[in-house]
Amino acid sequence: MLNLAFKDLLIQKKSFFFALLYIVFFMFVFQSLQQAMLPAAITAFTYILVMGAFALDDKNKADIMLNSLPVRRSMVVTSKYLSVYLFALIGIVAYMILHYIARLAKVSLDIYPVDLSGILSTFVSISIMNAIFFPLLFKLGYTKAKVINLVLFFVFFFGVPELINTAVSGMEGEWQGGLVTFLKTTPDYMITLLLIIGTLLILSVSWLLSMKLYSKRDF
Amino acid sequence: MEPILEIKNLRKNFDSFSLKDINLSLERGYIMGFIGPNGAGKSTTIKLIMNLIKRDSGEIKIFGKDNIKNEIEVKNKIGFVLDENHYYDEVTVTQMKNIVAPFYKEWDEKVFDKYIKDFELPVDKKIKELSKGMKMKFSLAIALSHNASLLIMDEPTSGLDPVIRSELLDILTELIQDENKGIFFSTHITSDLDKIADYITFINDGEIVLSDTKDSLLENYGLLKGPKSLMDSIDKKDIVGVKENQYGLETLVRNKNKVMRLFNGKAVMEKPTLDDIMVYYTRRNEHA
Repeated sequence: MLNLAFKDLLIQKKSFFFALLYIVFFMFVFQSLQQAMLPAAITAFTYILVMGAFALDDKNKADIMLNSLPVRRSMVVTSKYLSVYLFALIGIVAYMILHYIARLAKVSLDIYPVDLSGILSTFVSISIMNAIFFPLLFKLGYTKAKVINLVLFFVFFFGVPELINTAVSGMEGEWQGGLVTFLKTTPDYMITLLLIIGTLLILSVSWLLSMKLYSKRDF
Repeated sequence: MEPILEIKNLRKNFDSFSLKDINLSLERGYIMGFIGPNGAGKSTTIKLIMNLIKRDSGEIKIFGKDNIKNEIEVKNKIGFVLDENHYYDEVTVTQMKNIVAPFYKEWDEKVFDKYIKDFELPVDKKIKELSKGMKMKFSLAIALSHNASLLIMDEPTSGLDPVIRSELLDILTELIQDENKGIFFSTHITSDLDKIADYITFINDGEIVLSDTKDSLLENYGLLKGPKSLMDSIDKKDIVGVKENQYGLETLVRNKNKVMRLFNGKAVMEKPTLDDIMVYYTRRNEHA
C-alpha cells in the first residue's frame, strides 16, 4: 500500500521541489504567523503534492491502469489517504532541516521551531482539509472536482476563520459565556484529546465515503 | 475443464448505448478475435471483464470464477494490454515496472528482462519518450511477465506499423502453443485475425451478431456474385446483405453450399474475408 503512496512522489519530482520551495517561501513571507507557521507551510506543501498526484492520475488515466492490477479499489483509496501523512512527514523533516540551516547560517529570520503542538495543529489541518477534498476527488476525478476544490480551498483558508468569528460574536451572551467557560475550565489535554478524536472521526467518515464512491465509479 | 473466459447475459446500460445481454465462451488453448465497428461495445465488454466498469446484470467467469468475487485472484492471472498508454508519462520504464510488479504474486523478473531485451526497450527512458510501438511492447512485456493464463487485449494493433503488428502476432502465436493459455483480442483490423484467430466473435450495436470458429465461419458464409434475377430464388433467411454494382449484385449469404445448389454454376461464389462479413452485417443493420 505504501508502494502506491511512494508512487505519488515518484511521478512528480518537479512538483516536489517546487513544494519544498514553498516551505521556504512561507518562512520568509509569513513571519507574523508565529506558531501557525509550521501548520500553514506543511498544509500548503501537502496540498500541492496531493493535488499534483490526483492531476497526474487523471492526465495519464491511471485509474484504468491501477484498477486492472490485482489491487482492491479500497486499497487505491487508502493509499491516497496514507500519502497525505507521508507528504506531511517529509514536509516536517524538510522544515526542520531548513530551520537548522537557517540557524547555522545565522539568517535573521524568526522561524518557529517544530514542536508537539505544531505537529498536532498540522495533523488537524491536513486531515480536515483532505477529508473534505477526497470524497469529491474520488467521486468526480480531478478535472471535474478541481473547480469545487478551488472554491473549498478559499473557503477553508479564509472562510472558516471568518465563519467562526461571526458564529462566536453572533452567539447569545449565555452561549458565548458557556463556550469561554468550557475552554477555561477544561484542562488543555482534554481539549487536545477532543480535537484529535473529532479529527479522527471526520477522517474516518471521509475515508469510508471515499471508498464507497470510488468502488462505484466506471472508468 | 471450464472455459477460460465465459460471459453470460451480460448487460450494461449507458445513457446512449447498451450492451444487450451478450454471451460468449473461450476455451483454453485458443485465440478469440473480438471484432466490430467503432462504438459497437468492444471496449465496454473488455472493461466489464476487468471490472473497470460495473455490470448491471449477467455473469462473467474467468477460469470458472466470478470476476468480481475473486477479483484479486483472477487479475493475478490476467495479462492486460490496452490500445493507448495508461502508464505514467513522467517515469522511466524501470520505475514504471517497479510500481506495477509488486502487485503480482507471480511476477517473474527474469521473464521481464528477457522481453525488455527482445523488444529492445530503453529502460532509462521516460514513458512519454517511447514511440507508440514501444509503449505497446512495454505493456506487453508487463502483461507477459507474471505468468498470466489469459491475455486480454483491447485494440493492441491500432495505430501500429505493419512490422510491429506482425511481430506482435508472432508473439501471440508462440504464446498460445501453451494449451493452458487463452487470448481474447479485440480489433477492427480484421486482417490480423485472418492470421491467428481460432474463434471470431462479432459484436455490433451492443449485441453479439455471431460467435464461431473462424474456419466454420468462412466455410458457412459466401460472397455470391451474379445478375439481379438470381436474388429472388434465395431464401431470405440466408441473405445477410446485398451490394449493387454495374455488373449486378454482390450478396453475402449464409449456408453457402445450400445456396450454391440453387444455381448450378450460374453464379460465382467467393470466399468472404472477415472484413466482408463485418461490413455486410453492419450495413444491413444501418438499412434496417
